[in-house]
Amino acid sequence: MKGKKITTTLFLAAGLVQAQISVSGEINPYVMKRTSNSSQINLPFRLLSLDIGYSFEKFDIKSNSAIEYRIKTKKNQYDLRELYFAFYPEWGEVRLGKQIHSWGAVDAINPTNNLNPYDYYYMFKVGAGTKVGVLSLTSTYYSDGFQFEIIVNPYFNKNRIPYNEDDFPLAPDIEPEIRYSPKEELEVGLKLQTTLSSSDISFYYFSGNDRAPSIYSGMFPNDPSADVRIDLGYRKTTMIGSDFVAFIGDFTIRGEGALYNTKTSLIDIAESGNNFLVFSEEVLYSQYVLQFEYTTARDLTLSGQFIGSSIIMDDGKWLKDGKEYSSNSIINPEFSPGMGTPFAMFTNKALLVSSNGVLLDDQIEIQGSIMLNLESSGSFLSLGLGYSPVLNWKLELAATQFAGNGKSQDPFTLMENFSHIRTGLMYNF
Amino acid sequence: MDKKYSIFFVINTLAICVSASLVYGQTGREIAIMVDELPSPNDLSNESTMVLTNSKGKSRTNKMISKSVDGNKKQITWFIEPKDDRGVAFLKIEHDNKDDEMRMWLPDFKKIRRISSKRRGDSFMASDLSYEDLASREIDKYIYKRKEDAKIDGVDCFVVEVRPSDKVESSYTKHLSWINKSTLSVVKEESFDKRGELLKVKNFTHKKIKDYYIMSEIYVENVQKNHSTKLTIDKMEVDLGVKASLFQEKNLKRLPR
Repeated sequence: MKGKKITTTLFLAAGLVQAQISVSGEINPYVMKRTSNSSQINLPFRLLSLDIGYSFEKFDIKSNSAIEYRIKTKKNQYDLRELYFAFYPEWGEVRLGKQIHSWGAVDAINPTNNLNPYDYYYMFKVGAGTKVGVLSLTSTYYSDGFQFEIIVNPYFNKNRIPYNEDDFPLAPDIEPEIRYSPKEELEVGLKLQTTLSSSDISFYYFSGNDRAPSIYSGMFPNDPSADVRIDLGYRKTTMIGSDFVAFIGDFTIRGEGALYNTKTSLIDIAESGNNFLVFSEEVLYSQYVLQFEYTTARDLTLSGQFIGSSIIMDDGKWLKDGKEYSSNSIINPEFSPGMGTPFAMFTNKALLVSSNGVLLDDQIEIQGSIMLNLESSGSFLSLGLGYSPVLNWKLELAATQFAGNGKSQDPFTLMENFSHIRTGLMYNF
Repeated sequence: MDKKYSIFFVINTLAICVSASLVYGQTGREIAIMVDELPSPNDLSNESTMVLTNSKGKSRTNKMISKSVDGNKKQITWFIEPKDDRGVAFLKIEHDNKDDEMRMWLPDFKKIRRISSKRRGDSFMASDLSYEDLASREIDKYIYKRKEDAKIDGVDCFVVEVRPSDKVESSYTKHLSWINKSTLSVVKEESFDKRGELLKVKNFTHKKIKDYYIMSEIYVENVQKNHSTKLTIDKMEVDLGVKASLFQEKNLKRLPR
């Protein structure tokens, strides 16, 4: 027994000697003020992001956490965004824990990237910060010329929506009650990536539940003055997708597309009465992005994205006692995708032109982008400037401007009052 | 962001390959072949510091760790500083019969991004070095002309003019290289832009490790921009037995100990 204890102690001591602990992160306070009246936008932001890692031989433990802070209320909230264990055998890697995955070859807007829900508080950010970590098991196998990845999420996870946020124009007033939980929580993702000549091409499959709720059933009283009750649930959705990266001359071309089949599940809760209806829906829809990139002689990167989405088939109907029911007073709800990029809710066709670069030995960063609604008038303009007078410190100034078509339900119009100027400070450690 | 780095690779290459253009005695081409045949390590590991200094004398520092095998045909580099770039990493794999593969790990995006390896004239990390400056020169793709010998800091040197042939794309019209006659290492090079005007002056320092002369410092001055870059190899080890399996995407995500 004593010998075993000594052996264990020596092993742990050896582990401490050979292991590596890393700590890094950023502190990023900022304020957002509306361009219309200079009033402050009161939304939470990540004041502190902290990455802590522990590496030993072929193993890592990694975490990412954040302190979310709201200036107006001076309240903060701790958020453990990721905590996972990683193992790196010769053939690939295995990860287990709360983590954020990132699929898709195109920048920022990725129709195939559905493994994690979105955090709508950060939908105008880029990168992994827009996503919510989920418990999952991941394994990736690497071989000459291809790699294969399987991801299993045991539990259902939904988008983080800013409910009842006066300062977030698209926010619903109240968090709706979800009547129907997903029957099957297990979600599976598969990815195959290979290299063809000088190009990379990937194929994706994902089967899971929508990240946003949709209509499942309703109670429609005969009395027109009585309230209609709408019941919500999460549809089952299967996605197949693909992306590629190719280089033609000085241009880089990235493309990504996904096809989704979504359907409402059979519901167990059946209410008696003539006024209870079930909404049965099956929809086939697609989202796609085509991106061109070019870098000028002065290291200014220009990129253009064509973003599109379309409904290929929509079969939705109200059922009463299992039979189709139609009435002039009850109309089918408009389809709203519960998976895919959130930008699809803005328009079905858009052009996004972006540019970024650095000046004066990385001291100044500039970026600008404009999104144009190709279906109707509407645009989103973003300009950013970063100045780093001292290493690891950066002053940030950014402006965001929305312009809609004047119609009250147009997302660009709804966002007009969100147009703002952001000033902040970034410290990396 | 990726532009800034896409050019980066092949730092180690310079030690061996810029020299690959030149050497002793006879014609410029014969000198180049002799340099090319110098022994080179199986693998190379280093930690390096790059200091960029602008015309006002203000400087910024980058630090990185790099490992390579097969004469730098496979190379992986992790960025350590500045802090906001910590964890960014690059993987480069050169191919003889198709375009090189260059991939970048972006921790903030949790994404490995394939980037173009075609734009050889682009700046490497906003420095005065371009991807072309850091890459190997294949003997048959250049035309060599020997010039009159000269001394650099008291060292006897061959002087060779190197011009790109029509088999290679280049952002330069020619280079003038000074080669140490005793070690066959390049000690200085002047590079001329498309207009034929002097653009860069590069000075090299080498260190002998085992049987190899490995570059330990490059100082580059862009005379047109009055801007300079000093790349110093702080720690260098050769023939450590670096495995080919290191050059997989998964290892981009792990900073080396």
